[in-house]
Amino acid sequence: MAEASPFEALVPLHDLPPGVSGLGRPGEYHLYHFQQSGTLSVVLPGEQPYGADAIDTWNMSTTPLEDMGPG
Amino acid sequence: MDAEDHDRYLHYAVARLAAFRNVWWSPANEFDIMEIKKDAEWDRFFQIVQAADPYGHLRGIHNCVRWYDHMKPWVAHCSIQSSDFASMQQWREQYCKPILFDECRYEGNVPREWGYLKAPEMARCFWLGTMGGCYVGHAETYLHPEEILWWSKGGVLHGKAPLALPSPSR
Repeated sequence: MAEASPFEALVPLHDLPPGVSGLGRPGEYHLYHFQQSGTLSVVLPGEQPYGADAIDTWNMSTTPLEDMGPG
Repeated sequence: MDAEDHDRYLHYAVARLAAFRNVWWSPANEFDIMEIKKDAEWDRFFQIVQAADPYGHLRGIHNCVRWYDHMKPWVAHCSIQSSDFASMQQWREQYCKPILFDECRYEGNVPREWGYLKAPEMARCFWLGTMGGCYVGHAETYLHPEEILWWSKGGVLHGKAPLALPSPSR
């Protein structure tokens, strides 16, 4: 899992679809919570590639997903 | 109690408790069901505690239905009895103070509307509140053969939600 920013540094991310909430430092670290399974399209700012992990919030297990480019 | 007794009692409580670092103040549990008390009295209790506590511990007030006016300057955070996670952004922007879901119901199995959340439902409340930039309070109401409900007596936690939640120490 990517090193999370300190919690105090994360800000709520708005304008997300119903049932999805987000916290993050845009361009560095994004955390999205899904109340139901679904897909989400987000713009990833900057030039750097991004890694992604899926977190099971009940078992607190992490599954790596495909890395993504910016954009 | 009359006003003078209230003053003496509050000064006594603050003198006894303020030195503990894990104290925060709430003038009442569900202040709004005590109809004999008017808001001006709660205002005064807040101000007495604020003036008497040399350490400035957090101050909030727990409601049942009606909200206290959390805009008042002695309120450190909005202590909310609610499970309305859809209103988080509105409340944060309205009050510009930390929003604490002080009672979004409890993990347990007492046959009451407020005390029967299953562990994953309790954990979900923490995720929803935290992801929305708010804070969530936890308590347990599992029936106990000796009636030691954690909710009112403390002691040992029996539920599964705390174990599922990320913690800086874990």
